Amino acid sequence: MLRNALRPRWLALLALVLLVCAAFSWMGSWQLGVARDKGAEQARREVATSPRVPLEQVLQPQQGFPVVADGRRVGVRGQYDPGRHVLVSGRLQHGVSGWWVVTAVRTSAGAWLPVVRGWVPSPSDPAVSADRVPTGPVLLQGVLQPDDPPAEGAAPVGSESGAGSGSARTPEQLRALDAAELVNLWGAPIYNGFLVLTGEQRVQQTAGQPTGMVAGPQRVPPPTVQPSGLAWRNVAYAVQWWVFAGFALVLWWKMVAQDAREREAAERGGMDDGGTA
Amino acid sequence: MSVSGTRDGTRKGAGSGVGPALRRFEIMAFVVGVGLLILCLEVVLHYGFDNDSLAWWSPIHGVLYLLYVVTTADLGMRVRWSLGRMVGVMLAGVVPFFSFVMERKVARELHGR
Repeated sequence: MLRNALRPRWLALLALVLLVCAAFSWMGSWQLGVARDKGAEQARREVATSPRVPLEQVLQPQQGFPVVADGRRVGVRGQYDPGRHVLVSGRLQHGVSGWWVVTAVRTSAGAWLPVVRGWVPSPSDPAVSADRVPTGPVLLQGVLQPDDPPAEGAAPVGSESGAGSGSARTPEQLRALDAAELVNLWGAPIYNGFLVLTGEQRVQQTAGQPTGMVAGPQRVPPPTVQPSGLAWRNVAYAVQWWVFAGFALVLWWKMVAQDAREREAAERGGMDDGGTA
Repeated sequence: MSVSGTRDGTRKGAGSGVGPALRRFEIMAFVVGVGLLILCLEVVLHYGFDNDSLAWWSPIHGVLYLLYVVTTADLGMRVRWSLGRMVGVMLAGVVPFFSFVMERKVARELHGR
């Protein structure tokens, strides 16, 4: 039978079948890609519409960053520490490279939560200044994100000021927003992951404070979540393309086998009817 | 699409089991023909009216069409169709209403009716 499969006619057909298989596989991969995109889109929509929860429901200090916290909208009560204040370089905002302004918030759990308060086009932007950090207890709303992967050569880009000094004019600059690095600057306990700020309010207005919030840096748009879900319908299409490709191969083999049986029967000089039973 | 077959509608040299294979083919040709009309409705709803209420049908139709292809191959090999004929009958299953025509044609040919 194998000998029969190697006849030019069947080999030529096999080449054709393999071409069809390649095309079908490609269609399958394409559908799988569509499925991933749609799944990510769905997940994004779900996260965006899922109700906001208190931070402590999804994330604890000094714990790993759980999958359910990724992209989760949370509310947190705490107090900014203007002395714990860093810039993270290489961040795009509407296509322009700049810096994230990240300030530590001490939560009710007594741990430091890195909060991305906004974006500045330059480290000398006035919005970076520590006196733009709201004072007193605040209620924050935002979207949780996992830490950046550690940057290569993760040493601070520039350190013109002492770490954690309250009067820092030019804050520490980092390449990556990573708790493992921040803990060296801010101390423990600290949260893994960070909050991208979408809203903040003072908890109580005291007489001495201005009523409005000070203008901070330009907000960072809530990030999109990592692709996680799949759109099952497109997965089904992908699988079907691959099954069709497999079937083309099976059909080729069946035809070779049938042809071989008929040849054998003819060679034996028996009935010219192959019988194939 | 009825098979009046007590006799296997065999002609020269055809393999065994043609009758049941033909019946399976006829059933799947009918199912796929109807399914394809539902699929057309789905496409019209989706693109014309932005309505996805029939979207669940398409992957099911994919499976049904696969079954149609399998039954076609099974029948085609039993009655010694050429590869071109086989592929032609398979492709008839993706043209609205044509699978009904093809089913009649195949049945008439194999039954000699």
